[in-house]
Amino acid sequence: MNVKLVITGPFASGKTELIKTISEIEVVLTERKICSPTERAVKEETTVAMDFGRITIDSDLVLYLFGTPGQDRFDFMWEILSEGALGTVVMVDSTNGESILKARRIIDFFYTKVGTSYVVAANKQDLPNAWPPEFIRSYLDLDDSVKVVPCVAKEKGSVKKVLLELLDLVMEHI
Amino acid sequence: MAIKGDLRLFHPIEVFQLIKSNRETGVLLVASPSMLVGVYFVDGDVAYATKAKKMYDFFAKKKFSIFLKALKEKQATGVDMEDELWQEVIAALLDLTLLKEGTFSFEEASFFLEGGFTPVLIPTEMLIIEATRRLNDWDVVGKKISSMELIFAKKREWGETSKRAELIPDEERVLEAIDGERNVAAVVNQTGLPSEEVTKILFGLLCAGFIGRATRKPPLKKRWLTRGLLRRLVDRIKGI
Repeated sequence: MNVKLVITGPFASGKTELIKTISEIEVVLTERKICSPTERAVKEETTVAMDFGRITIDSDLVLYLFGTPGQDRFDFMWEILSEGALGTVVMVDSTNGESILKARRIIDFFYTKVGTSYVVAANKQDLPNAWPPEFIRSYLDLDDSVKVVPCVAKEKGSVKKVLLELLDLVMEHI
Repeated sequence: MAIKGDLRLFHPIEVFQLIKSNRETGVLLVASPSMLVGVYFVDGDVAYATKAKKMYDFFAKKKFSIFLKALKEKQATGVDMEDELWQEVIAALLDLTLLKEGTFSFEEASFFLEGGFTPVLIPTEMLIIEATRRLNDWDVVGKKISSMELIFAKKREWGETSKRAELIPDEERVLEAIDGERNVAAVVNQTGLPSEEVTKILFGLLCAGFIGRATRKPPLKKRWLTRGLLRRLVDRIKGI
């Protein structure tokens, strides 16, 4: 049996990094060179369709991780990739105001359109100018049922904590 | 806790919301091309605000000490403070809420508190509601009220909040229509007010802490999803 989690979030919030950190296989990437000068100032390549990672649970259960593209112009992918998902992680770059702002739009989308459980991962908490998770929660006007998990996407322990928080939430809903 | 940001992304009203909802004590410094403003908060409420020419002035206690002395005298004698002092605070706050560009930083601090005296003057909820009434930038409102399908609910403490910020009749009508079930479109219908007015009022009520997003209904149960399956996932991830 296959189950999937969706990793979404604004451009350069750390979605691909999170999947790379936890996936047991080399992550399947659909990255292309960035043309926009403002986006290229942040990174050279970006996901255009999805990232794909895998964690084998046992002989008959596999967990797939699907990462969505971050730019608004790919928003149609959010709903497509969320179809049948167990839950969603919304990544936010805690050091970047624009990322926090854009995460709001994604959360509004998930709040109104997609019926899956989700947590917010406040990424890059290891950097000195990161907004604390409490401020990110306040800005995003999250209801009490949504957890904001501090995260450093390049650290395995941190990624495990995010995924476990999400699974805890899914458990509460069954 | 400390945060920094850009006013082109975060409106001053939204910054007030962050400080209020986390009940922060410290100093908010705003640097725009036209002015420098400092606002001193105690437990999320405004204690003092002033404009200055140099950043250093905000950390020199002199101006604040004069203000504090006047405030203590007012409390002891019942005699009103000098108009000039009071007007300076109001002018700084109102000018700040009109800023559209610049940077802000908030740092935890308590150097301005003396001997346990808590000089709270203005509930931040009141400031937010008043500033929202003056707001005419629909992009700012649209960031928070981005869809007519959003559903809001009154917060548990909304009764307390309403003692700290007086609402006008239209705001009362919108607040009354919020029941955790109606979406924004239904609130517009219920109140009969123009949708632009309703969304602006919702923005203010949300920032001031009267309302929050309604808790979403749990996702539909998937037949194949069992506790046993979830436990297998949890155990495996723990073991990675």
